[in-house]
Amino acid sequence: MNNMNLRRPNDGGCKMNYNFNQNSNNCGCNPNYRMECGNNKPGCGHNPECGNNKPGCGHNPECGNNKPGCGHNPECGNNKPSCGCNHECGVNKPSCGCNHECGVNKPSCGCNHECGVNKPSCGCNPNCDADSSLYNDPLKGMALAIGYVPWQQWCKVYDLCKGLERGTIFPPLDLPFYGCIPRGYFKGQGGAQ
Amino acid sequence: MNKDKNKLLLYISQVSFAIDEIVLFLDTHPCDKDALAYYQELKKARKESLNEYTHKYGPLLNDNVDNSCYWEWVKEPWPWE
Repeated sequence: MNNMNLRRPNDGGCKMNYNFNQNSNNCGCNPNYRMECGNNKPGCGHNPECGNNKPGCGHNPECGNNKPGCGHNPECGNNKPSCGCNHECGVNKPSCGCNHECGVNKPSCGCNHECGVNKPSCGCNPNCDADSSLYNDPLKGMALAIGYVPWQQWCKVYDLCKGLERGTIFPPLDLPFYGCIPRGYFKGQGGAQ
Repeated sequence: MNKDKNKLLLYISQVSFAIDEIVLFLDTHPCDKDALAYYQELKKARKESLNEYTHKYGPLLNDNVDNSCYWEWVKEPWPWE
């Protein structure tokens, strides 16, 4: 994993440069409402009037560099434990989700059309490898989740010899099922190895 | 197995397969005149080829035994022979 050196596992997510005074837990917040993000945060909670020490500053856009619960805050800095769908996510994006700017490490890159090199669940990405069945889909462009079988019409059938050889006497049913061709004969068209 | 026997057996396989196919088609197209005509044609061809095989080489199917004095079926090779 790249950039693991930017994580600071011992700071609880938001400790940093707070000059918190142990006796200043009277900033208007419930002292019993403690967040889980800092070391010295007697209950600053979500109060936007809190001073510089905002251990539980939640979605406060004024959060500084130390933002334990900065969630969707577009101003988040480098430490973003739950950067979710934030389009400005930085380097460490454990749940990069729908972010169109995903970086190199994208464990759940999903449908991101900008997926990079590592795409374990590349999903809808049109840039997936050339072996993708997307490139061989004869139904490409049709509506999803609707199955259909066209009504077969009578036609000139194969002669008896060719019918047995091809596995059907109906030319319209004589289709190339690439996946069943052994030894990768049609590998270039999506066939199995 | 001589060449003619093999050839006739292959033809029976081909026409039998074609009947399987046309039967499937007729299951969903019971009024299709072309398919019905082709079915009759195939049925006739298969019956004639089976009769020819039976007459020359013995019964191919267990309902092709015509001899009422002897169960000729046992004279034919078994599947593992």
